[in-house]
Amino acid sequence: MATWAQFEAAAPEMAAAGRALLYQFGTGLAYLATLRKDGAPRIHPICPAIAEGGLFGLIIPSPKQHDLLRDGRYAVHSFPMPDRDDEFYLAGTAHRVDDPDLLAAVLAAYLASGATSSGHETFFEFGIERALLATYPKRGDGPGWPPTYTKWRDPGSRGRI
Amino acid sequence: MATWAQFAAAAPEMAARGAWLLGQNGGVAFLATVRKDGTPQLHPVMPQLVDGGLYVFIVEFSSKARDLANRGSYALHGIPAGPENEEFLVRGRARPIDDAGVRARAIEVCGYPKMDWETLYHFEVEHALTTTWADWGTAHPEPVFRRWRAGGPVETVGGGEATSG
Repeated sequence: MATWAQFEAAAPEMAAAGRALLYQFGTGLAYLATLRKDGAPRIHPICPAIAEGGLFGLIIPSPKQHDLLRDGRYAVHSFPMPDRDDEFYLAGTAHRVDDPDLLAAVLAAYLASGATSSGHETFFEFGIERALLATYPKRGDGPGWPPTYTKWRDPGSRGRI
Repeated sequence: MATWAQFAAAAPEMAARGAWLLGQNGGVAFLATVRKDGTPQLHPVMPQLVDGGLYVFIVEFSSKARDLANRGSYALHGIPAGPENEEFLVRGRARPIDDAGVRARAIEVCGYPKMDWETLYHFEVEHALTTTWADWGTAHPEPVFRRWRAGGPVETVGGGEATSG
C-alpha cells in the first residue's frame, strides 16, 4: 500500500492531475465509498486533505467512521468538473492515525484549504493500492467517449484496477 | 424493498427533494457498488425517474455491471446542491430490466438514443436519507437527517433529537 508521496513519486503527472481534481473547488472535495457491516456499499462526500506526503480524511463520528474503523477498504472519486468529465479515482485501505504532530500538520493543511473542523474528527490516512485517471475533451469539443485512461497500481499490492 | 413510487407515497417530501437533487449537476450522481473481492467501487452515473421507478443505463461490460450482477447492492448519492448544500442518498438493490416497453419509456425520458450494450437497471429502494443543515453559513452547521426505510415511517434526526413522523 502506497502513501500519496510514493504514488506521486511513481506517477507524478497523474498525481498532479489527481490533486488538481481533488482541489478543483479550493477545499478538497471527493466521494468516499466504504463497506457497511453487511458488506453493502456506503457513499458520502468528504473533504480530503493532501498533507505531509499522505492523503487524509477527517471523519466525524458517523457510520462511515465506524466502517473505516472496522474495515478500512475504501474508494475515493473526485467530483465532476463543470466543463469536462475528467475523473480521478483511488482505492486501497485507510487506517487511523494518532500521531499528534502529524495530526496538527494535517489539520493545518485541512483548515488552510477552507475546510472546517468540529474538533471531533478521527483522522484516517488513505493508503493507495490503485489509481485511475480518466481524461476527456472539453464538453462540446467532439466525441467524449471513450476517455483516455491512465492506471497505476502499487507494485506491492495485488488485484485489478 | 420499494419502488420509487412507493417511497414517494410514504415519504413525499423526501422523494421530492431527492428527485430535485438527482436532477441537478447535469443529472450526474455517484454510484457505489462492491466488487467481487469485497472492496467498494465508485462511478458517476445518470439516474432517471421513469413512471415511478428509479433507473440507470449501465454499460453491460463495465465493472459496475459486474458488481451489480454479483451482488446487486448499491448506494447512490445526489451531488450536494442548492443554497444550503442539500444531500440525498438512496440505497438498495439493482436488477437489470428486460422489458422492452420499460426500456423504450426510459429512452424516451432520457431524450437520446441508447446502444444495445447499455442495459437498463431498476434501482429498488431499501433506505433513503436527505441531509439539510441547521445554521448553514456558520462555522459549525448542524446536519438534519431525514431517514426512511421501506415499510417504515420518516425519521428526523438533528441536534441530538430523533423523531418519527
